[in-house]
Parts: sequence; structure tokens; C-alpha cells
Amino acid sequence: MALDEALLLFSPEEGVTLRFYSWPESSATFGRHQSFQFVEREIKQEGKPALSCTRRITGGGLVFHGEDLTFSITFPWKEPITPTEIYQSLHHLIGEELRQEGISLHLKSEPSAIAGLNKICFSVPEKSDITALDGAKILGGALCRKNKRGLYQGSLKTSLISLSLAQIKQAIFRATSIFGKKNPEEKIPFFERSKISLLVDKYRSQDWRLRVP
Amino acid sequence: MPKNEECRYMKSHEWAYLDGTEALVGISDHAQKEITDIVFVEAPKLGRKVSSGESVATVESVKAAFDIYSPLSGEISAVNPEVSKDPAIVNKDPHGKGWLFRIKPSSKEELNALMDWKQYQEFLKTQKH
Repeated sequence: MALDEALLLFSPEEGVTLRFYSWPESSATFGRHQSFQFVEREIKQEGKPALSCTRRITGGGLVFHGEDLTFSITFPWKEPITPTEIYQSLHHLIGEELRQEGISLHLKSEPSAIAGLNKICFSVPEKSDITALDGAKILGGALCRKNKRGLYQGSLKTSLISLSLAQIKQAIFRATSIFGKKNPEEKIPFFERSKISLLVDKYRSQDWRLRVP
Repeated sequence: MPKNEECRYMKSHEWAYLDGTEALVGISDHAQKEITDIVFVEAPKLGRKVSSGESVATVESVKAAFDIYSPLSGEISAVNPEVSKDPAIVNKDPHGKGWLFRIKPSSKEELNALMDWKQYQEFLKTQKH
């Protein structure tokens, strides 16, 4: 999470980055403004009280990680594009790329019936989420904008797609072309240690994790 | 509540309006349209000392969090409790009931450095592509 924020804050204004990462089996992330009490309750209900969880800088809901491929994209957020347009365009393109690999899927066209912040990401697909034909959610994500740059954090259930990890990554890689660059930067740039340390401390701190909005 | 023409603007679309010794701060109509349906507002802490251009609050629309920057340096003197209860007010009335916070500016000169309404309109034209 700290590295995603560093890529958002310290990459060149016009730069596009793509980062893939994975989690230990029992991990969760939750949205920037979600209540920690809600998250704790849901984690208990899931039967994973020892699960480690981190608050994201992006919006959206609680995500249980382990069986997913997570990835982040940072990009120049050109005005006047709305978050809905970015979300829809990116997912549309990823969906098209996966279709070309032979995967049948839907882009959900209706908004979810659940309002408010306290949601579990994969329990109910939102508008423009990618789902399997039976409605199971394949890809969801969340966004954040700081100054003129945006961060997208996505979670893709690899078990619902009969493609290799390399094929899925390639599809996502190609879809990042919507941000105006053919080849996003995949190599993590060099950041000053002090800048990264501050962000790592932030994500490890109780203040950030428990903050009551 | 201030009219659009009476406010000063940042490039990041926050507005400020000098109201006696304090300034009222919110986001412009352009910004609320861009952010779309706001579902949460995180207000700055009362008494917090801030610098102009510093990220002091956040708003969240469906799945997206946006930083809100202070147009002025000074001390946060009030936050709008109504937008916490009903964040959609910011979409409905960004220059009125949807104001976000009040700040006691440490220097009123910073206000003059912000764009006036006409300059802001010109700036918005340059953002279209």
C-alpha cells in the first residue's frame, strides 16, 4: 500500500505505472473511509479473526485477499474525466482483452442496490465491475486522486478465469493504454528512503488503520 | 451564502470566500460534477493549523477518494456538520449549504493570489480537451 501511494505521489506527472502484487493468504484491505468496527465485524464473521488488514488510500469496500491478483495503476488524471468514466473505460478495456483470450464475461451495467460505504467488495458487484456469466464478480477496483494524478487499485479473482497468470497480466498491461501510454512503467522507480519510510510507517500505524472518519 | 462571482478559486477547484475575519471554503460546481455522487466527507480537525495548498479533507464518491486542499494558510475554525450527515448536499449546493469548513486566515493576501470568477472560468476552458 505504501508503494502504491509512493507511485501516486512521486512518479512524474505524466507517468503511467503498473504494479502487480500478491498477499499472504490471510489478508484484507478496506476503503479509505470505511469504519474499522464494520471491518472487524465482517472479518470475525468470515471466521478469520487473525487476519491482517490494511486501510487503503482508495475508496471502495472491504476486500479479502489471497485468491486474487492485485494490481495498481497510477496515471495522469486529466480533467474533466469523472471517476465513473475512468472505472468504466478501464474495466471495459480489460474485459475486451480477456474476451479476446476466449473468456466469457459481463460488464455490470446497473449500480449495486447497496448504498453507503460499508460494503464487501466481492459480495455485490458494482456498476462496471467485471463478472462471470453467472454473475460472480471477477474484477473490482477503487480509485483515489491527488493533485493531477490518479491511483487505481484492482483485485481480480484468478480462479474464475481459465487463463495463466501471465496471460491475465498481459491483458491488464495492454488495457493500460487508455491512459495514453503504450507501455506503462513496470519497474519500480527509485524513491528516497525517507519518503518511503514515512509512508510505510503511516500504513503500519494504528492511527491510519483505526481512524474513525 | 456567497455567489460564485464573490469567491476566489484554486486550480484544484476549491473556493474561498472572506466572511469577516474568517473564510468559508468549499468545492466548485465544476468539481462536484466531476467527482459525481459524493457519499462521504472527511472534514479537517477543528483548530488544525494548515498551509495553503495542503491536503486537509477528503471526499469520496462511489469507489473514489479525492483530496481537498486548503486555499489559505491559517487555522480551521469550523466544519460543516450538515455535510457529514448528508454528503449529497455538496453535490446539490456546493456554494451554499455544501460548504466544507471555515478558516481563520493568517494572511489575507493569499486570497488575492487565487483566481477570481472570471479567471476561473478561463482556467476551466483550458482544462477541456
